Amino acid sequence: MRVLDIELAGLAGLVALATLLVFSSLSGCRADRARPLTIFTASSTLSVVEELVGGEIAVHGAASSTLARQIAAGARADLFISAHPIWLRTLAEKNCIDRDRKQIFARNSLVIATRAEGPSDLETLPRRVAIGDPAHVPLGIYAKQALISTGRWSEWRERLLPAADARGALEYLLLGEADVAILYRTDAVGRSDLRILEEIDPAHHDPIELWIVPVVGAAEGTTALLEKLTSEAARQMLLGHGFTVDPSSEPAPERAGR
Amino acid sequence: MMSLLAFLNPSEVNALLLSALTSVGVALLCLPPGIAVAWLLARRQFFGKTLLDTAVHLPLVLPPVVVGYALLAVLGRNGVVGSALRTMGIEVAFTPWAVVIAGAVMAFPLLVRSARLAFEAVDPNLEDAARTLGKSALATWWRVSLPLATPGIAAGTLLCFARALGEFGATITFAGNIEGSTRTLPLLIFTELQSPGGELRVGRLVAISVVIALVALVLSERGARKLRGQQAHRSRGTS
Repeated sequence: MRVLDIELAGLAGLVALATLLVFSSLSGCRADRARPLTIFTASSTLSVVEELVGGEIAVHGAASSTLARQIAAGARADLFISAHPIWLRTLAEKNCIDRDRKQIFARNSLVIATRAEGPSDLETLPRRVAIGDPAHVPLGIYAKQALISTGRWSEWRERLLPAADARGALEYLLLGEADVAILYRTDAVGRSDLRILEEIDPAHHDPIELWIVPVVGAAEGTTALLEKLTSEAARQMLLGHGFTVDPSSEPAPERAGR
Repeated sequence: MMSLLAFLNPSEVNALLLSALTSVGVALLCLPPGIAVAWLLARRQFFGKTLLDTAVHLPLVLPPVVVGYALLAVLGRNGVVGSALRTMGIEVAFTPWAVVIAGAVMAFPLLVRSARLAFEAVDPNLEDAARTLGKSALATWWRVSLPLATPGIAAGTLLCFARALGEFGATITFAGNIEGSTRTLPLLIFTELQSPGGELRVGRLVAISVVIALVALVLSERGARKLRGQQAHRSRGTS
């Protein structure tokens, strides 16, 4: 029994240590800024943002949730483009973003797509459906809403193959591991290897708004970069990539909420 | 253990059970071939030995994601073996079986390394003595070599189990991250870590992982003690 007591004490100590480690890692975002500008952007906008800013600015693409989490943990970013407003709220609560300067960057919609040689319609249930992980990836959150709203959720939920970001969902489809995928329209249009089976009516999910916002403590030059990314030229390029953009870049209407 | 489960939400229970089952599955699956390969590498010279040695150890030095991708390329829907299996109606990738396979490939070298050292440490004179006393090669292996190597094999099996329990990179690549099907404990922790506000749940999961690791260590320590006791008893009995 003596041995057991020692084991239990050790166990309690380790649990306490682990808990301490977890909580001590929650320190807020940091401002330490002598370096090139960095944009953290939703993976669905990665290629268009890279095209917009050119080479000398670092662009990091992943699921918006992952990026928000990284920013909250102190990752060095100057601009954040999020595919879902929920992560802006979380970051604003932690004072990690300059919420008064957030604006809508672009809008998107959802499609159900398959490979060129995939099923011709959705009459028969797809074998496996790639989506963003509905637990956190914006693509998955919107897709789940659409599946529920269109009455497909109960039949499809067992067939979902959740990916870590929007690009991952596309990758599962291209690899052939899923026969259909719910993707952003911009990831599916204009590709000869993909076919769109259905455009999802935006009434079935929250509006897909991509927000752009400076991170607190952003380096000099961020404002100019923000202007460049929301300029008329940028809007034209976003349109060319299949995004929808608002006619003029008015500052966010929600600024009164502060 | 049951009272622990009551504190958890369904997705945590699923992840915990999946992790426990697949890790035990990996250990059991690796044990027979692990012993065979370890003994071959320790005691036999044969053509292609270096090749076998390298192949077994490859997952230990490759990035786990690469192993996962290789598995996907071979056993995935359009893979060499996977497409053949598909015509028989068997799908492996992105199922719980994929979790076991990914874990087994990653953990196998650890079992082999440990078991091989144990076989190498067996005194050949004891084996020779058994043979001169009329035991067949198989009987010698079964009654002398294997029992003497057992502690090392047991330690290797524990390592194998622990490696499978912690497997992440190969698993997420080859088995995906499907709630209730392939989302193991490490993958659930990863998923919770992706969303801001998941910290509290992550804390609980980390605590669970620590508890599992400690339970496994305590059990193995007891097992090893018992084993040593038996061996001491046996050697007294034969002397």
